[in-house]
Amino acid sequence: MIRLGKIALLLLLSVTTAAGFLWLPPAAGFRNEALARIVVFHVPCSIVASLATAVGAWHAVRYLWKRDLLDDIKSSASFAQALMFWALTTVTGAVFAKSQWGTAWSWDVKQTSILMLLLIYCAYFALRTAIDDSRKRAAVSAVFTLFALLAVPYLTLILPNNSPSLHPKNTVFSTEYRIVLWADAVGVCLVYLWAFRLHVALDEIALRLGRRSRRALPPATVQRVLRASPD
Amino acid sequence: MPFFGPDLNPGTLMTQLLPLMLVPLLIWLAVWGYLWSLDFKVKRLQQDLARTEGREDDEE
Repeated sequence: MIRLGKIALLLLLSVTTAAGFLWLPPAAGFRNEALARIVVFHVPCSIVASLATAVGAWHAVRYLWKRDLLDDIKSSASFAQALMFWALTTVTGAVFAKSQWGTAWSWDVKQTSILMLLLIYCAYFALRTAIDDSRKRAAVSAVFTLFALLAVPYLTLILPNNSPSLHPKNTVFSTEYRIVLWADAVGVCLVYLWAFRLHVALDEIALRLGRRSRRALPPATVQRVLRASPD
Repeated sequence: MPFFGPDLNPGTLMTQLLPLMLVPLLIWLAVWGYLWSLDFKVKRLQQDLARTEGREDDEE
């Protein structure tokens, strides 16, 4: 059943991609109407990146509350996905900018704020790699997340919506655009959930292996060595 | 509404949109294939680890 769901996900992604290119009419009101179709890939990436950020923040708060290392694993896994989807949002946004404004990067307020957001994520992962002790790393990362969290709504919502920007505001999409955009958002969200689950499972295995290797010698091995020794 | 959009002539479609469409399509296919194969590997690792831990518990 789960396997069928995964095959259905591939179909959904393929159909929404094909629909984005072949079924959607050119977007009226844009300079390059044909390439403006990229919004149906750009917007879902930013929606899923925001969702992944929220999930990561929730698990960071949960770690500070429950002190369960699994929450730290879930938090960092979700932030890794969020970084990837924010990077995809930036790349698809740059393609859109090139087609609409003639240049891929124009230091627009939205582009600059997303760059700052990406730097905050990079700082988070740099911080994590600098601390060896897993408990200390989890606590410091969770506290960093709480502070970084204050910047996220400011950089993604407040600043871009209250500053002059090239980025289109209050765009009204036609029904076809809304269908493809939300179907693609569902597909990208399922990809995030699948990758997140696998990332957490792999980190959990690494945690269990780390715990096992930290035991100097398992008691059973000690007993076996003692039984085998002649004295 | 026609399937291929209202004002796209077949020439534009074949020379520009179809090759462009293949890029995200192939990326999705690669991502999906990677996750699919990783799923099997993770399941096998989890089973191996559970078996090893079970064996160690029995020995203890």
